Amino acid sequence: MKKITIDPITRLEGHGRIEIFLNDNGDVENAYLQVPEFRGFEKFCVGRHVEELPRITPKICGVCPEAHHLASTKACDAVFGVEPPEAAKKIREMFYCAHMIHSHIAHFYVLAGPDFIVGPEAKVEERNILGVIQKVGLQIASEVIKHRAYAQEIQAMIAGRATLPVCGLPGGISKPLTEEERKQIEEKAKSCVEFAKFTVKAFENVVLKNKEYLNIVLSKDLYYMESYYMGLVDKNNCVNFYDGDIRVVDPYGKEVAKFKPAEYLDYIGEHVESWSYLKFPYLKKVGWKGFVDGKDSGIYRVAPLARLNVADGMATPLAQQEYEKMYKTFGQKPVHHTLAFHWARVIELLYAAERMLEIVQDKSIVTENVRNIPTKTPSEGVGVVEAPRGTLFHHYKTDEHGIVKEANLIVATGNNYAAMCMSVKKAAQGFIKKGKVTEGLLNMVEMAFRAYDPCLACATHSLPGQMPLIVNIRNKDGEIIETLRRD
Amino acid sequence: MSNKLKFAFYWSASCGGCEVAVLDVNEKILDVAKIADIVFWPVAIDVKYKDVEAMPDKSIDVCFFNGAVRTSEQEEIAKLLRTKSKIMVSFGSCACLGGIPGLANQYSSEEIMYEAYIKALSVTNEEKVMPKILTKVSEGELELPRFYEKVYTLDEVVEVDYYLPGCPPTAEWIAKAVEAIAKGQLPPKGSVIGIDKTVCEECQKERTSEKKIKKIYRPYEIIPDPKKCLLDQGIICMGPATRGGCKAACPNVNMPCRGCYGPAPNVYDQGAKMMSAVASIIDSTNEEEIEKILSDVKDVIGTFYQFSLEKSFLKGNIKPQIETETYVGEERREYPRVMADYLVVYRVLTEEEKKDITVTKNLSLGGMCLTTNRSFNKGERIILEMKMPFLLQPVILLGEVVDSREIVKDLLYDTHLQFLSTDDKTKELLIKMINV
Repeated sequence: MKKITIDPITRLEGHGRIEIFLNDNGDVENAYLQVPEFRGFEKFCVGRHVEELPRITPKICGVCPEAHHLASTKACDAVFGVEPPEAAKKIREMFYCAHMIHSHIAHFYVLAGPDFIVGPEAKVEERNILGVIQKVGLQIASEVIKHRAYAQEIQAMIAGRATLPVCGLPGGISKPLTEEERKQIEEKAKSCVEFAKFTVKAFENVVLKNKEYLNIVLSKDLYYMESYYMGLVDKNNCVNFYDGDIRVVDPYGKEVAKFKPAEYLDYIGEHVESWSYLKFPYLKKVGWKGFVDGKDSGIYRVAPLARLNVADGMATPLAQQEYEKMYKTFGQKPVHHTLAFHWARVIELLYAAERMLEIVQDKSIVTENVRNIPTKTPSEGVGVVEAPRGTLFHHYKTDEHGIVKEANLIVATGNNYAAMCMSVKKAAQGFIKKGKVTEGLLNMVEMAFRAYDPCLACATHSLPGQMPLIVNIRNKDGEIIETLRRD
Repeated sequence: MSNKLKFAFYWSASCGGCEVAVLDVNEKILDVAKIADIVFWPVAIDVKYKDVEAMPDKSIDVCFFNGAVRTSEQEEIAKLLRTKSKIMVSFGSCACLGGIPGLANQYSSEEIMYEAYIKALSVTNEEKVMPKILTKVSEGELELPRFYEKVYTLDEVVEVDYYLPGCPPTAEWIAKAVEAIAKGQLPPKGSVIGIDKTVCEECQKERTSEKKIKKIYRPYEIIPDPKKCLLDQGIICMGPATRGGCKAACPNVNMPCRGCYGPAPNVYDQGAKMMSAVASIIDSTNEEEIEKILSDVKDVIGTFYQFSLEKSFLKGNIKPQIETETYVGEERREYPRVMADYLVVYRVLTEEEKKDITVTKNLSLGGMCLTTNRSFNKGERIILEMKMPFLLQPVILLGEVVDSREIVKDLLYDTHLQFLSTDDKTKELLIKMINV
């Protein structure tokens, strides 16, 4: 049996490594997406002052540290049983919208952009950020850079630093917002709304109006998977990134669970495989049935498309219009087309910008009252937010001094891990026939998991907009008989 | 081929924040592109390790290496890049200090694995499956890399030429480092590329001259006056023991420094330095009371060594390092000096009641340097009770002040003492400590 190793030299949550096994006919027998890195935060969070975890856990990921910061801060609120003042909650949410804007802009233009704007069939040399700039023009490229920078500046203003924030404390935030800062953020937020509108339009013009691209998105062969979906919703069942209940829908769109963060253990279990350091979350009530899709398998998906699939709509007007348009185009809900994650992401960008503007125009956020001092004895708490890459859970148990005794973390990308494994296998099966491995495999496998914007791959895309891939094809004895590379 | 410099970037056990920091250099990245070709950067360029192996030795001008070292693979690459590079820069807190992943060194790798894969609350793993180096699946075998028992800093694995600390390093200092390299204006080998100031010296908050605290508060317990020094208000802020360069970003939003830029200039053990700074501002001379006040810090490692556990005397079998550089001062030393932190209770010979406690900064057979919270006059005589490892009774020494220099305004002083008389037994003990 032949073994093919795809070793993308990627980082963040580690190298991702793909092993593909071919049977005697040269067809794909099985494929494995391995995550070979592990640092053990669950353990070394133990013994810490719990209020330090909002500063320690963002170091899990330098790309979405804001998500860990807020999930951790909310878990601390719960540990101390303290409710932050209204203004503090709003400022946290506004800060978080800025993070979403930053992350979604980077993903759409720099990471996914090359696939769609330059085109999946374009030459490899052009399928990168430089190709995107060439296609959209320097002026637009500078708008992209400007608005990513705006989002970073807003985060730094509120949290002290743009990367690895420090402002969250149990009971609120460390620094009130001044009227001067509020005005600055308002100006930037207005500009972000305009830019998000432009981006939605660009997606429509470049992708939806191009029949060839649209067919790839709508294809049910390679990028299609029927699964459960999970995401946070507000009290009206609209998408919310910062707070709310967790809602789960089945592959037919029926709500099968709606629960509070503190109840997550009743609904989510994590399966362990000995060939990967990343665990596989699944729906406990359905059960772990292995790498299979459908209603009987507990595998679920998270992140932009999942969030839209579980919600009844968007809480802001422009995003709501786009939401309706997307579901009308597919003519079904939930949408199971993996590449629709990109569309959902653009709609979320618009929502994040609109929501940020809405909050910053609420002058009640300019107040000294942004912290409540905890008075109760600390014990246990769960904090959940929607990270750009999906639902993120932090759960801490402490002693009476607030010293951490147990810490449990389910990270955003982890939720999609099982689904990503299956997408990779499907792409491999589609592109490897009778032992023939084509260059297309590399692109298509890459596109299959780029849709999820997985943390273990996003850094790879950050500069050139493509992932260097190496495929080793080995014979039974493990000797390399052929090497394919995509520089 | 161009005459441009050749740069390599590599990461190991880290979060990716250092890469984001490199990208945050923004438009300046274009300046970098003008002066240098990047020959190895796994995010950007498809260069396999074997391609690096094929490069001639010392053919890379500068390698920026971030992340701590936890796996055999990471160690191999560090060694390979060292061989191929003229200059090795330890980039970011994880490479320089062990950083946040270094906190794992409190626990064994078995404990860490057990917690994550068997004990974790959401795990359903009745068969107690753990990730393995080699897994047999029906189609063949799957491998995972082996993890070392602990996290290492880069300089524990290979020789490092320069250190660029920070979590992450600021864009400003990354740009400055690149500029220094381009212009060939590098400081002496082994230097930290950074500001020779503490975070306190960059901080805008007001310090009061009265520097006594009665209680230590955890950050959630009080709402501090945003204009005033956090340490003055009883919140442990690592500023006095930490190198600046960040412009006090965390104190600016009323959050205490946690020390990501590593030890302040001329400090080896950042946590010990901070503990002595805290001990010296506690409003008490009673050891028991001081201990009681300090006992509010339940997590000493997470508070004082959040980033630097692996670069401290706490980490286990480390021996005090003999200072290699020659002392540039008025006098030339007769005795070898070691950087060492031993607890010392000290008082002025004539002031029976006013005891204080601190740690040594360095120690030789002829004298020592202490971190003190006041300045002394040259020639003042000090009684020192030094607590040594493995000895119940402290060693009593008499010293004379050679000089006393302000390090952090109104807070910390480096006081150099010369021993006046040491009996043979004490001398023997000192020799043991210095020549460990």
